[in-house]
Amino acid sequence: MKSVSKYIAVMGFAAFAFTSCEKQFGETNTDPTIVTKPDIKYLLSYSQERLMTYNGGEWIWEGMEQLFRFTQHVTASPYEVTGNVNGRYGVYYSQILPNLFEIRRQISTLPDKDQYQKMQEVTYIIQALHGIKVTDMNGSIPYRDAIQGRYETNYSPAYDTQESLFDTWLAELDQAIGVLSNTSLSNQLTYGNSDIFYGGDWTKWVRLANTLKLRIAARLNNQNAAKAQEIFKQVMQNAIGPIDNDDAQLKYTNANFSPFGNDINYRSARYGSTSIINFLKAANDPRLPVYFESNDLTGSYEDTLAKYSTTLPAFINPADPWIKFQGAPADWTTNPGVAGYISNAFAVGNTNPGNTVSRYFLISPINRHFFSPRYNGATGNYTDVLVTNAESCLLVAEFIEKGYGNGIDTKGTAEDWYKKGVTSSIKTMNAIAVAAQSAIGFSGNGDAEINDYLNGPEVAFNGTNDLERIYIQQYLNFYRNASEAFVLVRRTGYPRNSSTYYAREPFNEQIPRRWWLTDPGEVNRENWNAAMTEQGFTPNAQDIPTLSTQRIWYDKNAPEFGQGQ
Amino acid sequence: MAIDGGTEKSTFRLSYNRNEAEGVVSNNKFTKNAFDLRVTHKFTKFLEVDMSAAYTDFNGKNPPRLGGLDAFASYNFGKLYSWMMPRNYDTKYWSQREHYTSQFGGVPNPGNSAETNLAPETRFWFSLYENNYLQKEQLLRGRVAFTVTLTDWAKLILEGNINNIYTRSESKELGQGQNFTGGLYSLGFQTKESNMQKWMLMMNKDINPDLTLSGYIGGEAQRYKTTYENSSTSGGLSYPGNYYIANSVNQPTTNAGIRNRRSFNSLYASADVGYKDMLYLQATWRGDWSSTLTYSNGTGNNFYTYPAVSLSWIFSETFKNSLPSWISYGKLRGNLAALGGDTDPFRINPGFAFNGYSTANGQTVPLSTYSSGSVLQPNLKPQRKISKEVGLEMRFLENRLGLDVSLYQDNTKNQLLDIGTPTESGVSTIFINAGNIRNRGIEISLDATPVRTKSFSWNTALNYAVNRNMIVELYPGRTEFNLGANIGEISTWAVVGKSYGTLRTTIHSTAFEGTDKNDPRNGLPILQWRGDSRTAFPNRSNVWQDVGDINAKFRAGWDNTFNYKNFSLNVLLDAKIGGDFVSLSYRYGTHTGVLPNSLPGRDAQNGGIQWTSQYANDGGTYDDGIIPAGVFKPGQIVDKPGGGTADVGGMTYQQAYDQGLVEPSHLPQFFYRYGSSSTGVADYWVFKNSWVSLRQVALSYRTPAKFYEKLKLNALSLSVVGRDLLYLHNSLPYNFNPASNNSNNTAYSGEEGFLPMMRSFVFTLRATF
Repeated sequence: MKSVSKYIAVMGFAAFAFTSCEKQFGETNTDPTIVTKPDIKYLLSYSQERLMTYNGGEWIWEGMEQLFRFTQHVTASPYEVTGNVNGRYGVYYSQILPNLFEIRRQISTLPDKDQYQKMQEVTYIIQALHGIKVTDMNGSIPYRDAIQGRYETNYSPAYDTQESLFDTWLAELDQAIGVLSNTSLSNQLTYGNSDIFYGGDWTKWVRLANTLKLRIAARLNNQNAAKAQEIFKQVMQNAIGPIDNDDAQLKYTNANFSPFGNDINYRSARYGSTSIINFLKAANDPRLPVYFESNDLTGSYEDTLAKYSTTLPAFINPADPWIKFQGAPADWTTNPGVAGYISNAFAVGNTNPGNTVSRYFLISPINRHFFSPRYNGATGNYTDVLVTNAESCLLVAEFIEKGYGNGIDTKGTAEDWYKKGVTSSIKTMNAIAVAAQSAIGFSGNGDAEINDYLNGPEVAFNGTNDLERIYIQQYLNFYRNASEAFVLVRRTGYPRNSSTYYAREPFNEQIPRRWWLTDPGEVNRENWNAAMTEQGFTPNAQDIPTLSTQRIWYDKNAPEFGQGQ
Repeated sequence: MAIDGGTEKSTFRLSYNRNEAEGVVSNNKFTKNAFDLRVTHKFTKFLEVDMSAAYTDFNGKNPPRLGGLDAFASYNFGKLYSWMMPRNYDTKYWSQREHYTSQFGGVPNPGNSAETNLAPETRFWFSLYENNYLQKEQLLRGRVAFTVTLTDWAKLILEGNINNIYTRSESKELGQGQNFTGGLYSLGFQTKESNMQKWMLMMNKDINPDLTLSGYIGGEAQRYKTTYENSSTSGGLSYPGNYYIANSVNQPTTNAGIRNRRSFNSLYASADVGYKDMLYLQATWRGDWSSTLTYSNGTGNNFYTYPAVSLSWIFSETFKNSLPSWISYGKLRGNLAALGGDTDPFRINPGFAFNGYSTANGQTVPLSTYSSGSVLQPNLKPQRKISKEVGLEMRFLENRLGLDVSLYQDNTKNQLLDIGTPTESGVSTIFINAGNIRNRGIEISLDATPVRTKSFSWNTALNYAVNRNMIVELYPGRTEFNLGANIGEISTWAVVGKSYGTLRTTIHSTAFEGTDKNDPRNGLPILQWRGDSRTAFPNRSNVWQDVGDINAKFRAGWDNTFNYKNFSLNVLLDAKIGGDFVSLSYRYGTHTGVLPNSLPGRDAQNGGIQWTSQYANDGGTYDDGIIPAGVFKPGQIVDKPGGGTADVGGMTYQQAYDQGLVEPSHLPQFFYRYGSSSTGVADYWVFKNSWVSLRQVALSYRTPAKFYEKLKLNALSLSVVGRDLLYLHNSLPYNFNPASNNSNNTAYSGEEGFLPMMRSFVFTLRATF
């Protein structure tokens, strides 16, 4: 009997132990490092940070290797387009949009949601900011049905046409401008420091939204000039207006980040093209030493040349005060003689006893520390300006020059906005160089140098080709934004092939005008196929000839590269 | 080494084991010390205790790494030697420090025009000789079990054990930048704790002479928890080559927390009935409550059962009077079992997690997002597998010959897995209970003793196994599922109606298909044309195509043991026939021209066509011409030699060449494009991986008694064993290593760089005192 009761006691104990343990299972299976109700400000910082820092791969595989060669800002060995381009697409849906949608969803569950109206509108501006960039190279993309997998279980979003995307974004930007400018809304909360774009300053957000509307107008111009004009007038008549001062630029500084690191020469080093360096030299542009590194023709090279009675190759003018900056052809096959000096130094001297051979590299590389301040162990700090004051001002100048400002107060002439934009570009680029500890164009406030530049014959308005001058200054300003540079060159056809002011160099390579979207698999293949067919795209085609002839909607009427009107 | 002893009430055994090894790759070694103590003691007639304690100490250094930093070799041994380096690479020369280090310190930088040491892929030697990855593991195990004899037919066992592993890992990387800037030091600690308590009541009773009954009832509770802490320098080491956390250029980073934890409570019971030594029935049942299927609020389908029943009938016993004498034994068996399964801890309770900080604009702000890019199906259930098996075991000729045949089928339902969704939906996968995956097969084994004399015998055993699986059902609206095992651009899929493990890719070329069945162009790849190099090569189709099946046709093994007096020789062969294997090294070796298949056509000596180019900007004389096999795609325009263009769409390259519209393609350009990461096609680097291996040859010798007694020993034996000796058959090209699978995840069948084949020899001397 003793043994049986022992047996019962053990069973009873075991049964008791089980039931109390089960209740703890829920707690055991919950990761203590996660929460179910987040603070939305941390979610905003995440989306913003990802938008600003995903671009390492994009610079290496797309910006430097492809887009800047097509625009002819740089010249480099022509590698073929790889599947690593179009990084902007995936990051939009996986890293940027989800948190922004979640912020709005969290706000809708709060009892005091009315105090979050302004915080909510900011999410739409960020969606448009990156969305415009995504459609620039892809055409139709999902937007209205996107990001509905987590809560609405919609895994097959339809693709919105580019025209409807712009309509949606214009409406969202207008609503945002309305709410954010509304000073009579009470007790509005802000993101404070968690807003790493503008620190919660609503006015700056409104300016950004207006400038984004100008970006859209520039893209719509070839399809619907009347609509572009209407948008321009709205922006100029808005109480706050677009970005028109350097403080309101969308700036990102981060000592611990650099998109390139030491990979700025990945696969091939980049150099200045002949056209850009020649123009910067001719105009005495303070940005020349900021953008490009000097070649080896510094110091006592002249003595060495004299000692060995050697003259420099014909394409270099020995009396050029800017001799230390030389460009190379954008397409190496058009001038192999000069292009050869990219990889091969110019040798002076001989190996006879008592003599030496000096090797001089003649072509100026891009200023690597300007792009990558920690390159090779350097200690500079990274700055990026995603939406510049210069771009905003020069867009206004462009629209006024095209006559879109007739009948409204444009707060200055085209020339006024032009000078403002150019000044801002020079000052901003110099400030980036100062922070990066790379070569600067001027010390002090630069007013004297900028004044000389603005009054010089290469820059000042002359009544003949003012619009071209505006385009070229936009072009020079986009030296840190390959994506916008490509859109400019694609929509305007400038620099022009036959220009006497700033000529596009001959380029024998076929240039793609968009990227491609791969088959998304059985779940959404139907919608994707429909979108490809609607745009006249061959699904699955990834070859350059197809990508250069099948255009996205707003590009359909644009001129060929180099054939601007 | 072990010593043991005992009395009639107690026994003990203490053993010590030491293992030291050096790997085949430089700088790789480990040392292991293991102590084990076991004590049993009988307190009274009805109470016994069994205790054991073990401690193992392991120190390992620099296991060979087969990953990579980028498309080049970086630190991947396999990539470096299979396709990066030419065959005349002088390892002895390039592996010396002065040749892999720059005069400026660090790794030679080809982007620096002043660099004097223009050595290839120096990162590999630098990280092999200058970096150290250390791991120390301490294992502690303890177990106590009490056995209480309740009656002569019932015993109660109460048991508890703990099992803890403490790991310390360190990574020391020397900076590869100028002046050795860069580098890294990281230090991590991980503790894995588990404990178990169990009670079991065991019963054993003969109800009557013909019927025996035994069984048990029991329950157990298991708890597991893994915690960790990691610190690492960030941004490089301030003092190069000094490895400590404070030596960090930027603020060091720290991470700590609970990696996972899970709890199980289980209850089980089993009953065995035997009738007259010829019919046996076993029924078991087990129920598990698992924490990993419990939602945070305590709800969830977290209970699953494993009932099973098996029946075996020794028919040779039943019919012993009517069976012929050459049948010694025969048993028929069948069993049916259900198994359950749960998932990973924390999986079903997602939320929002911190994701580092932003240091933008001179401030530090925390970042947060979803803890998982996966969305959950509501009301998740445990996995369930139903297993069915029938088997026949027979022995003949007084056990000289034996046969065992087994047929089985498993159906796994409600598998918990992640199924991909388009990224535009905002989530990357859905975590679901999926469909029905069926696995069926047959296993046959034969064993025999063909020769048996007083001093010599030969035992042989042959086995053969075939296994086929098929996806019966997946998920509503889904017919295909990417298993996430990518080798290059070829991935492994589960497709409804096909086997688990279909290889698919979008980069295979398209085969020409004419309207006429007998069109000689049918089957040739559609070609692409590059105007700069004037070379044609197969064009990627960019649509999904099936390119293989990873499943083997069958596996087999043949084991032989020969005994002669005190000698014993064992020879084991095993084989796998069938199953496709993806070889990324073959692709890149073709692309870079280091493999022999890239020779034909490379120059005049190797059959290259010789010609002088008529193109206006060319005019050179070449001897590396080939005529690629293929058909130009419709509308393909080419530049004609001598000027002008032509539409060669629909023509084979040979036809276009015969008409003078194209010149021969340059072979190096062809192979470059054939394998490059942007234009390479999957047409040629999937192979059948069939092999027959001489797996083991073992010779052992037991010294005769009169010899070991002279040494005052109780026993003495010697053996020499050779393992993985050679492949009698290997269907992979160029002696690639069939055992080079990239991962032991069953979805993988392929390599991305591999270590060479290795054989090992073990010499053992065993003495008993």
